[in-house]
Amino acid sequence: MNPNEKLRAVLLAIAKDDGQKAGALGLLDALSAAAGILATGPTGLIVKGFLSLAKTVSSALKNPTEIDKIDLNTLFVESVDAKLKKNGIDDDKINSILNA
Amino acid sequence: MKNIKLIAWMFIVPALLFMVTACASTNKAKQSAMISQQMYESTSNTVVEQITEIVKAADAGTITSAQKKTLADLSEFKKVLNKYAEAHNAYVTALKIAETSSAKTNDVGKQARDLAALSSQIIDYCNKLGIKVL
Repeated sequence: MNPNEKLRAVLLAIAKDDGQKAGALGLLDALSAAAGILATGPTGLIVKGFLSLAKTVSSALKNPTEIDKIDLNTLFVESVDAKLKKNGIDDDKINSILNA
Repeated sequence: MKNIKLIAWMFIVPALLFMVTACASTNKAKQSAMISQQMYESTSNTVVEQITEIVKAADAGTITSAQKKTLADLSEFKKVLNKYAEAHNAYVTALKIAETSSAKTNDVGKQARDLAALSSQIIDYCNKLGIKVL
């Protein structure tokens, strides 16, 4: 079984209903389209990444009751600039290095 | 450069578009937001670590020309990630509104499409910077 077929099997196992199955196959199409990325590393590493991510997606898809409980306020993210500022780094600092 | 789940970004685009075109329920939208948040955090934290490391090298006077080139690329990449963070937060805000008003579901779709478009740019930058899958 080639890597794409393994991935297809994993995604189909995740997707139990028709709607999710369509989504899973859409994911596979998108991945297959990323030919440049697929060519950058050993197949084994890519498959490992696929399976790891498939687990994450699977967890999200299989726990709708848990998702119901999620407070949307916890899903907001912080910008990269804000994260860098905590490390004492801003654009001026970066530009001074680049222009030195 | 530390590896991150680059391929994971490939899941955001279809996941969001699937949600928009096939099922705009709050649960599906929350799933998309969760995955989007996880992938953004993973990527942005890697970029922050890399920039911090190079800035420390510059402060120590040991920065190399290769690091300087990488810093320039990371500096451009972070602009895209900042836009993504903004779009992600707008998406979550739209979801919050949609929970109380069904008339606002179009906003969720628009924000999801914005996220999908930015995801493509992020993939391009990951390729340029040599960020690999785990």
